Amino acid sequence: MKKYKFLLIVFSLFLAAGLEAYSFSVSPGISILSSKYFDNGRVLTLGTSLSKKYAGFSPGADFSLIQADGAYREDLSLNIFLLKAGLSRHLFNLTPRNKLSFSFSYGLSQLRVKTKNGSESSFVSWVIPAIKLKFDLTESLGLFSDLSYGYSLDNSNSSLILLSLGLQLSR
Amino acid sequence: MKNLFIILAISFFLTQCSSESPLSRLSQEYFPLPDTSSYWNYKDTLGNSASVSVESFNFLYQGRYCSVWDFNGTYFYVWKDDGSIKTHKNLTRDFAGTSYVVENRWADFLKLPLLEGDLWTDVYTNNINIAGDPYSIEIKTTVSVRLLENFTCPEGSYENCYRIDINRNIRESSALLGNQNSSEYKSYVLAPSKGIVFFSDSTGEYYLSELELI
Repeated sequence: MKKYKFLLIVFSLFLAAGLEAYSFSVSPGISILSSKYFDNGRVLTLGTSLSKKYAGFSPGADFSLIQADGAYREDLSLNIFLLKAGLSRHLFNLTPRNKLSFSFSYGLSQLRVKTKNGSESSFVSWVIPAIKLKFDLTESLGLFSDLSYGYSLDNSNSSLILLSLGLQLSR
Repeated sequence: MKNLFIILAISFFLTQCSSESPLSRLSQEYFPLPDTSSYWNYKDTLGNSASVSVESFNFLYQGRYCSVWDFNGTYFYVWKDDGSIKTHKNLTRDFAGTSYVVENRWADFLKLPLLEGDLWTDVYTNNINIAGDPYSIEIKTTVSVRLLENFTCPEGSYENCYRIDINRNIRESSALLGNQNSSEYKSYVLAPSKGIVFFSDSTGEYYLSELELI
């Protein structure tokens, strides 16, 4: 429980910080959940980040909508509304316009599994490390790809991989 | 600062609500198929006993490598893949000293994953000619699933169980026999990693008292 409270405080601090956003991004992609019952799914992420740095780390917050269909049942589907907040750090420049960064986030999701007649839902917490490769198209517009790995903090040992490609607009 | 407190309160509330998630139930094995010599023993409220034992684990039957269980005196052929658990249905009818197979198939016993409120219906029909007389049968099976937060039986107490109610209605019609309707009702409670911890049928209600899964 102490771990949860700590993560909640971190999550809340950086979500609040994210309200003064420096950049906005939108990125569609694919999702893979470590469950045999679901096919690969889709993800759409809306993100914000701050220009302020704390010891080289920038806070940011994302909202992702994840959907997946059943692998064996046509009426089975999965919806995850994932809100995550965390810190990102610039690692190095591959080229003058290509930047590689790493982030570590805490996510809180509302997860719903449903069929035609049945459904179950609950809140699930995640820890999400990610790597992001950004290419600056102009001074304020960038193209990026993001690879995130989520590990659920319930007792299911579930993993979630998100691979997305998007645009980032900086103020 | 106000926003911070609101977000903190909402986050705390939401996390407090998260007990057992569907993800953790999806990762559980609710219908284990253990090896030969495994067994489940049951008792009803009057002390009568029933048992289920695994007779064979990899038995070729009707085109499938399946498990064969002695389910309280009746052979139960069960086969499982990632999306369902199937049992073999073999129903015969006797006419004038001759036995006719009117149902012979692998049918869904459970659709996976198990989910609270899930409900499905399977309809099977067959038309055959018996001694020159057209005979038809329609078997309508309705299966419903409910999530039980906990279930207690003599063997122990289990959380996150599913109750499965199965209603099988059979309608038969032929010129020789006329129309016949019959139905049978069974229910099961499945616990994670244990399998069937309770079942009820026309003979009574049986609670798990002992098990050994190999």
